[in-house]
Amino acid sequence: MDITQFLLGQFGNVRLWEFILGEVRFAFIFLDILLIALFIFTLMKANSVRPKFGDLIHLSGKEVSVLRDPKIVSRWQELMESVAGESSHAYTVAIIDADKLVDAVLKRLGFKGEHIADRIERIASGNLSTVDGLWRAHRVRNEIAHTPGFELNSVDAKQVLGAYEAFLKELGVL
Amino acid sequence: MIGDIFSHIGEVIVDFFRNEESWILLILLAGGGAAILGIPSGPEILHLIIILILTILKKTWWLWFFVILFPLFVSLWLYWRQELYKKRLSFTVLEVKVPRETLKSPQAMEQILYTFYTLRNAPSDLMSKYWKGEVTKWFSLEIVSFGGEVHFYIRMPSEYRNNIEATFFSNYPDAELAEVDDYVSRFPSTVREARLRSVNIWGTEFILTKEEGYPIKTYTHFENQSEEKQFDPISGFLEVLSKVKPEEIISTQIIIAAGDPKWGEKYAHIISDLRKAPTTTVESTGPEGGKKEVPLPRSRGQTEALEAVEGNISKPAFDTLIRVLYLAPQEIFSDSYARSALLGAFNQYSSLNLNGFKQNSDASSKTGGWSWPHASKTKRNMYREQRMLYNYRKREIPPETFMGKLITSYPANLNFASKRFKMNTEGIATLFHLPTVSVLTAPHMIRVESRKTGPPAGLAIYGDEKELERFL
Repeated sequence: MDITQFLLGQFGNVRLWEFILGEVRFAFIFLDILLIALFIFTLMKANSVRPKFGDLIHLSGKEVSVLRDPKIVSRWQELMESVAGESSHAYTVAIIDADKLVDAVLKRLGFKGEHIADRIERIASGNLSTVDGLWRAHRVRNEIAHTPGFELNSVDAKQVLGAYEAFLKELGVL
Repeated sequence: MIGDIFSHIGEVIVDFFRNEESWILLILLAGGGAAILGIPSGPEILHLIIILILTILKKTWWLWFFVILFPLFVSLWLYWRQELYKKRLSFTVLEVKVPRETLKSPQAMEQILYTFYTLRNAPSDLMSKYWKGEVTKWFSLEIVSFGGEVHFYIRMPSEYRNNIEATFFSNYPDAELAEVDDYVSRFPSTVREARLRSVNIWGTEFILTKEEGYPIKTYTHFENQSEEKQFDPISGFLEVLSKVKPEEIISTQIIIAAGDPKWGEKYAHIISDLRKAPTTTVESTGPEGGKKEVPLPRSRGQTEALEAVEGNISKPAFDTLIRVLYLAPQEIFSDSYARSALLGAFNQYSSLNLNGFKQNSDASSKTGGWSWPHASKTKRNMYREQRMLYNYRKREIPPETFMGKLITSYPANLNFASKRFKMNTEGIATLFHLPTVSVLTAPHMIRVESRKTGPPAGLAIYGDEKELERFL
């Protein structure tokens, strides 16, 4: 306090200068609060506008985050066990489940689309050889879902499940 | 005017403090002054000064807070408004179908670029700059090779389409412009999608090796030759692009935005430096003895450089960004060809005493442990790849503001590397023009086979239907 009063005193009446300093301080503190509010507002707006590379953030060095996910592996094992009885009904249920599983995996991998068909389309087959098999399997699943009383023999059913499994294996999930 | 005076004074003060000698001078003066005035000097005075400064800061923190936060706020605000403005822009992609025989020199392209320049928009008042967030709209000139098949594209703001078509046809009458779907939608949009499609990516940006005041070797250099020495350097470029394997894609984009017309003033100092004839000190054998400054004749390189720089800054320039992307399936991915061959193709235009191109390694998609922060190489590489892919697809220009660059950065990947440089119409025309007749890579481009001429005289194209003579 001494030093500042001393300094201010050099310029004339200390009281006057202290009063002015107090007023300026008040005004600036008001401006500071306003500025902080505006800054936070603009920060939120700017955040909504900036490019997000979120697709990468979950990868953490591995390329496919679903790589051998134990939950998916165990779900697939349960699925396979449920068809041990080889009844047609069990197969149809299993195929629909498998399709759901693959859909979930594709969603997790970031493929956009309304239905699984859109998602499968977005996979440019490139080096993935199992995508064709996946398409065929998906069509069978659609037939199962849309025709009541659809009968499927065990050979075909095993082929369909095999196609789903091959796709998941190629992705590295299983 | 008052603003000019203040900024000039500010510059002088800043320059003064920039010199280390000024600081030494100040300290000596302070010490000398203190000694003269009998003020106790030494450690006590230092202590007092520090306490003084700290108390002043404590009493006036509200001022410093404002002074520091306000520019940051303005910077952030500007970034937000500019991004909103950019999002509202709509673009059209036109493919340029190259005619079989182009007898026109790259000067035709330069004329087209002048038209691009006249379409320049810039924020003219505070409202357009800070509320609308206006930025200069940019064009993208692209040469893409899909497995050896080379295509030329121009992407422009949709409202300029008619202008561009008109100027194109007036300069290259045999070329055709067709609106196409943006080829970029075939590229993967994220690194994850690329990995899933087993596609690897490499990309980089090219920047100049010296100050922008120095030009590159432009097409005029290659033209002023006799018939057999005439050479269109874009042929080197197209050869590189055509040697690409069938599943690979190399795509290049030159993003141009019309720049400030007064850009050359900054580089007038190069001219005055070059104009100063070099001197050498010689022992004088005359009556005085001692040394004498003797001017040497300017070397040919320096004269060339002088003329080139003068020519360079006399033409309008664009804020330019050159990006290159290489995509290939994983098994055949080999970026070394793309890297070295493209750099070589760009460096046909470089010259030792003028300017040249080099990779902007801070913005390139591959880095190693030798660049800061020397850690987590894989993660940084992934982010760089993603950013390069994103920037290429969107033809992004780097944010103008500091906060903009900061907020678009990630811990693993800061966004301060990408930068634009000024290149004038002649330079851009050298890099991108329809290949002239001396370019022999005919098999690699789908050309327009027909020629175009005007209509026959007397054709009733402007008249009414009633004016036609009907054959009854």
